[in-house]
Amino acid sequence: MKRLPGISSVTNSVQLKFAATFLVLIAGLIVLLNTYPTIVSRDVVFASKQNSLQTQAGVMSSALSTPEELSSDTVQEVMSFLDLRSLTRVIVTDENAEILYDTASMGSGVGSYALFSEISRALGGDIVCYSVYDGKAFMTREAMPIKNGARTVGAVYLYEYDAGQASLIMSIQKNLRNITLILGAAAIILMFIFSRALTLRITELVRATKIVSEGDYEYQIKTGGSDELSELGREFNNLTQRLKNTEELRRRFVSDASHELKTPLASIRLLSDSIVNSDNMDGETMREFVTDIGNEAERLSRTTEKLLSLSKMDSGIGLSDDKLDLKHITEKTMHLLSPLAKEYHVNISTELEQGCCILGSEDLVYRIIFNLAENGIKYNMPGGFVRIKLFRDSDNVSLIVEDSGIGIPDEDLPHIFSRFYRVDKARSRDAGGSGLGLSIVYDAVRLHGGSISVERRESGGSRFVVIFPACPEEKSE
Amino acid sequence: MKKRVIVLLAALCVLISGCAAETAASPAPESISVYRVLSPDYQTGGKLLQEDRVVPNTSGSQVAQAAAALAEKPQSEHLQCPLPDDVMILDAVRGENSVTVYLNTEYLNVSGIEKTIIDACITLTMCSISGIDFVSICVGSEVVEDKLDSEDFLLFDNIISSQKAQVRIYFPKSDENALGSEYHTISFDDENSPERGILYALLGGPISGSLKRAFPSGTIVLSVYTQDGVCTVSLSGITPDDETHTPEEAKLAVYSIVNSLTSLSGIKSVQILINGKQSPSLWGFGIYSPLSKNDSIIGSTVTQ
Repeated sequence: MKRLPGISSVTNSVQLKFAATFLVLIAGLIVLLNTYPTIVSRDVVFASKQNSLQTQAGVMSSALSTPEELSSDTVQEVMSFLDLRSLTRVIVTDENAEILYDTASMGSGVGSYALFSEISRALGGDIVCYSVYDGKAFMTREAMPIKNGARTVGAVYLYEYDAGQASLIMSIQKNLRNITLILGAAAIILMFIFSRALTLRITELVRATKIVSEGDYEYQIKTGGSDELSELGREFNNLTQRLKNTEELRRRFVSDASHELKTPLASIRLLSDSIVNSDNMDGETMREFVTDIGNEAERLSRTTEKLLSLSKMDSGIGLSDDKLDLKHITEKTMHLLSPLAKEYHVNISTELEQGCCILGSEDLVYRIIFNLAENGIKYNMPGGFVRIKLFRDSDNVSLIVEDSGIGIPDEDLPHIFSRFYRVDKARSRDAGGSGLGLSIVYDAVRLHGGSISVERRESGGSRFVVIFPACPEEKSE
Repeated sequence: MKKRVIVLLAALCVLISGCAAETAASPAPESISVYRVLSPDYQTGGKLLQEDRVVPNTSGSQVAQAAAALAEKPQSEHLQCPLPDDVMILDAVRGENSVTVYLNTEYLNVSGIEKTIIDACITLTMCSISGIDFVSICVGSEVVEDKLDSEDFLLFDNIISSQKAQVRIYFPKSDENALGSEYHTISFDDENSPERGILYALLGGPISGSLKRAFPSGTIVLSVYTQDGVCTVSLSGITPDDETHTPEEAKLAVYSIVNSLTSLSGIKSVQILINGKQSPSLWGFGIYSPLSKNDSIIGSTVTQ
């Protein structure tokens, strides 16, 4: 048997749970407030009554404890000296439980036998005292033996009906009840208001999450205050903003990647169509066309290869924790780039310190150094230079690649690490660039826990500064 | 097999009809209240004695069965036998409205509260038998206790507060020419005196079915006051020379008032007025002078 969705949502709502919890707490407090003080007051009165009656019974018992035999007259005489006004009933019996003295105005029991358990036990030598509270009065009974030496010659029975103390307790109880009712009502109203306010903010968060999950990344929630829910709201807004940025990057990447892949493909198709449709194409032209097709295919291959590298880095594939000597990798890379430098008439110089070790993937570090140095060569001027410095300071290893090239305009500096971003699109393509080289560098540095920055050199060209965390073993050395 | 079942059923029917016929022929005897002592752990609310209902056999005498029940060990662990092991009831002889119970000589060795408990249990048990009002206890030919009745024993504290008490109210017994009594809770204050409370309870009628109203409905109390030990009660709504009431009924009615009111401390006698005036008689019974309590017409107590 399924519950209706509406009822289920109400019974499962946070507000109801809050309300139910508070209600239970309030009910518990009300019960405690209405019972504990009454119980304590009652016990105090019990103790006081028992003490008082025991004292009075003791006085009577002592007064009646004479060597003479107890009789109605002797008891009457002794009792006439005592103040019995506070007592509802006083009975004095002989050893057979026959009543010799009774203060009851209604149905005096003088001459009868008092077969009460209290008197029976008192005649057996016990002192009996108990008090009962029935909500209207305290009824306290005390029975004490009258001794003549070791012999029990009779018993004294006292009964007190006290409605005064009871009315005092009832008045306290009534006041407590009224106070707790008012406080309880106020607490319930406030509880509903607060729980409503609390759950409204949670409901707003749930609603905002649904809106964002449907694709509206512009949605932001109001975040006032400094409590946990406000903090949650702020984090939600930050998360939404990051989602929005990521989504934008993703869209741009897809668009750029499509474009980058489409361009060489279109060239290949155009060239191949030209070859196919030309009946009288001479061999030289055809060779030129085919060479161009080959170049475009190579560019396509490089682009896809770089995209694959970026994708691998995004998913963390290929990252290892090998101990790498950056001096060695830099020298090897420079060796590989020396033909290119010669081609572009660019001079490469290096200042490499010993002991610049980091933990990471050799392939990725190679790509970092290669891409930065290759860019420095390709976007340089004949006779220019590329200078590479490598040094270590305490916890970090710094790699500086600077060139005397054309430099990067200030407005392009914040974007140069974005994928498919080109400063000079025509020149970049001519140089065989894909717009992904610096993105790969950026991601690779980030994956190694490092940082990269770029600045314009005053005398022209650019300076890239890469800082890696040094290998821990090196730190200890 | 079927035959056997039919025979068994027929036998069962005969047995049931036989029992029914026997029951119809001799009415079930009234139960006897056998009084026993509560075990110390169960003596709550001031109660010391507890009645235990026993249905007597139709064959033996009720008095002998009550005596035997008193000597028996109670089945309930809450109760104890009132007789010590060495005290035995030798015989119980029924008189006109009394019973003489003979105990062995060990009874003479018992004293104090223990003896009072034995006397109370025997008296209360015997007085619960219809027609028994008094009990005498003898050892051999020696009368140890004479003419004990149920009113001699106070089994609970009847005072509730200074303005509320359980008071013994007397009513004529339904089945005999005597007064029975039962406890009624009376409340009183500055406006309503205890005397008025007792009279209201009396005119309100009894609770027990074995008692009956002393005065007809419509009887009202005009005034009641006590002076020098004489309580003067003025009644209205009754005709002094109403011949529908016999002088015996009149005597019981008058003493139901007198005996009920004289239970109050300070009231020695009761003067009854009719419509505020002294009347020579009520239904043929003389009420001109104040009357004192009359114990001779009190039968066994109905309820304690």
